[in-house]
Amino acid sequence: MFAIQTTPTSSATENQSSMDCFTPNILPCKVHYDGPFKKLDRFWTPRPDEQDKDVQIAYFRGRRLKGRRVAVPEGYEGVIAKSTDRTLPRSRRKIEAEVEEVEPEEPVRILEKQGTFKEYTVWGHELVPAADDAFVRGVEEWIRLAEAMHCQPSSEAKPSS
Amino acid sequence: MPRTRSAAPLRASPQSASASSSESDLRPQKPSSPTNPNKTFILPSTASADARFLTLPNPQTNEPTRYFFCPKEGVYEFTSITSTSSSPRSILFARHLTPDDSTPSTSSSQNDTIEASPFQPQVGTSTLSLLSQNASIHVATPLDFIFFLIPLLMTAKATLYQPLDDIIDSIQDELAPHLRFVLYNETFRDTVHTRAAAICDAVEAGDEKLFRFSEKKLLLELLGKAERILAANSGKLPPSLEEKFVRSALAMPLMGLKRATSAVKVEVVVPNGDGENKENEADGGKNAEGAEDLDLEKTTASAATATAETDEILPEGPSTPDGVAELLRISTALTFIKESYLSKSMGAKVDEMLAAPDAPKDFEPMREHLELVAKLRQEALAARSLGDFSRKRSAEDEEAAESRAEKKRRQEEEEKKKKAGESRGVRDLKKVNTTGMKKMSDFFGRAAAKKKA
Repeated sequence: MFAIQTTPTSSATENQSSMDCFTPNILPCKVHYDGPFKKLDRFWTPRPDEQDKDVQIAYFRGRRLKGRRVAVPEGYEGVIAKSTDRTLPRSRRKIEAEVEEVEPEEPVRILEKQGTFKEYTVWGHELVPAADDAFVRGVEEWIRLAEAMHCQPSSEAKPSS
Repeated sequence: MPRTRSAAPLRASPQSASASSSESDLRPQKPSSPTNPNKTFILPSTASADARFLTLPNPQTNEPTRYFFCPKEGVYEFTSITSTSSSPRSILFARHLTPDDSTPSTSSSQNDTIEASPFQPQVGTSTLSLLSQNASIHVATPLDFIFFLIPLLMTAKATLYQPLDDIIDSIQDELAPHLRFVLYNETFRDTVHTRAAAICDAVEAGDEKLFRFSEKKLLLELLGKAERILAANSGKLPPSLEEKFVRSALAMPLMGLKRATSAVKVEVVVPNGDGENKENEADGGKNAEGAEDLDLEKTTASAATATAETDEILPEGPSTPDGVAELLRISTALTFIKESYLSKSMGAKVDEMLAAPDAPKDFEPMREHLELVAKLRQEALAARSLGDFSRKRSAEDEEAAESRAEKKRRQEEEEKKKKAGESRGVRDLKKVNTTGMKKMSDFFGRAAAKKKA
C-alpha cells in the first residue's frame, strides 16, 4: 500500500502557509485526547526564564514546567500528517501503468499534511529535561550517525560514477 | 467575536444558523479524531512530490517494514522516539506566532480575510491547535540501498557475471511488490546500479556492465562505513556509544594506576611496622609475642601484594595507547552495522573474513589487549580477595571466638530448657500422686459419713 503526503488541494496563500507552522511541545504528562482544540493562548503562554535564557517556563494545569528547545537537524523538517481515504487521481495511474506495464497497480493513499515545524520543546516538571533524554539527544545523534553510516561522500561518489 | 460567544454555550446554538453550522462542523471532528490521530514525522526537506511510504522487507529480518522512498534521495528507514509507560508524554502543537508588534496587526488582517472568505472550515482550521495523546516522533534517516541489494544478490545465487537487470528479472516473482516498484523506478535506476557496483565485481561487455556479488568488496565497503562514522565524529563514536563500548571496556588501566599509588603507600607503611616490632620486642611477654606474629603476617601480606602490583603495572603502560582504542571503535561500529542491517548468515561470513589472517584490517592487537585487560581484572579481583582473605583471617579468629561463646551460651540454654522439661515431667508426676492422695481422702470421707450416720 503506497502513501504519499500532499498539501490540501485548496488554494494555499502565503499567509495560510505561514499559519501552518507549529511548535510541538512534548509535555511530561499524558492527555487523553487526540485532535484539534481552540483557544490555546488562554492557558498556554511559555516565556523565557529570567535566570537562564535558554530555558522556557510554562504552566499546565497549575504545575510549573521547564522546557528545553531542540532544533530539527539541518536538511530535515518536521511534518504532521493525518491519513485519509482519498487516493491519487487515475491519470497518474495510467502514466505509471504505461511505464511499468503492470496493470493491477495498487492505489496510492494520501497522507494529508497538517503542518510543519523546525524546532520543538521538551518540557519537564519543575526540572529541565536531562541532556540525555531520548527526545533531546536521540533525534540529532541518531540522524548524524545514520548519515555517516549510509550517505556517500561526494569524493567517493565521483569516481564510482 | 459574537459568533464565538454564541457558539460557546450549547443552549444558544439552535438560535442561530451559523452557530449551529459551526457546532455541526465541530461535533464530527471530536469523535473522528481518536480513530484517525495525527502522526509526527521528521522527513528530509529535499523530498520530492513523488516520495512514497512503502512496505519493504527488512534487510536483516526479511519482515515487512515501513520505509520512506524518494526517487531522487533514496530510501529512508524510520526510527520511532516514543514515550515509555514509566514517563508518559503527550505533544501539544502550538501555532508558531512571532511575538513582534507588527504581527498582531497582520494576524488580525489574516483573521479578517479568513472570516471574509466563503469557506467556513478554513476559518475553523486556522484557529485550531493540535494535541497528540501519544508522544511519538518518527525520524526518517537515510539507509544505504546496498543492504536491500545483498539479499537479492544472495537469492539470485549467480556464479557468472550478469547484467543487473537480468539478475532482477530472474527473481522477479519472489520480489515484494513495493520492492519491485523501487527497482523499476526510472529515476532511481542509476542509484541502484551505482550501489550495486560498490559490492559487486564489475566487467564491461559492450555497452553493458556485468555484475557478480563479491564478499571482499562488501567487507571493504563496511569497513569504509565504520571509518566514516569515526570521521564524522572527529575520530570517535557518538557520545553514548563511546561511553558505553569504549571507555568502560578500556577503563582497566586507570585502576592499574590507582593501584600503583596504593602500592607506594603500602611500601611507606612497612618501616612503621618494623618500628612496632622493635617496640614490642622491648616490651616482652606473651602479649608481645602475639603482636609480633600478627605484624609479621601483615608485613608478608603487604609485601606479597606490593610485588604483585609491581608485576601488574609494567605490562599495562606501553600497550594501552598504540591504537587499540581506534580498533575497538571500528570494531564496535562494524558490529552495530552488521547486527542492524545484515542477516545472521551474512554477519557470520563477515566475522570469518575479519578473523582470517589476510583481512584488510588487523584486529589482533585489540583482541590481545582485551584479553590482557580481562586477565588484569581477574588478577585485581584475586588481589582484592587476598586482601579480604587476610582481613577474613582476623575476622575469622574473632568470629570463631564469638561462635564458640555463642555455642556455649546455646548449650547452657539447651540444658536449661531440658531442666525445665524435666521439671515439667516431675510436676506431671506430682500431679499424678496428688490424684492418688485425693482417692485416700475419699475413703476417709466415706468412713466419716458412716460414723455420723
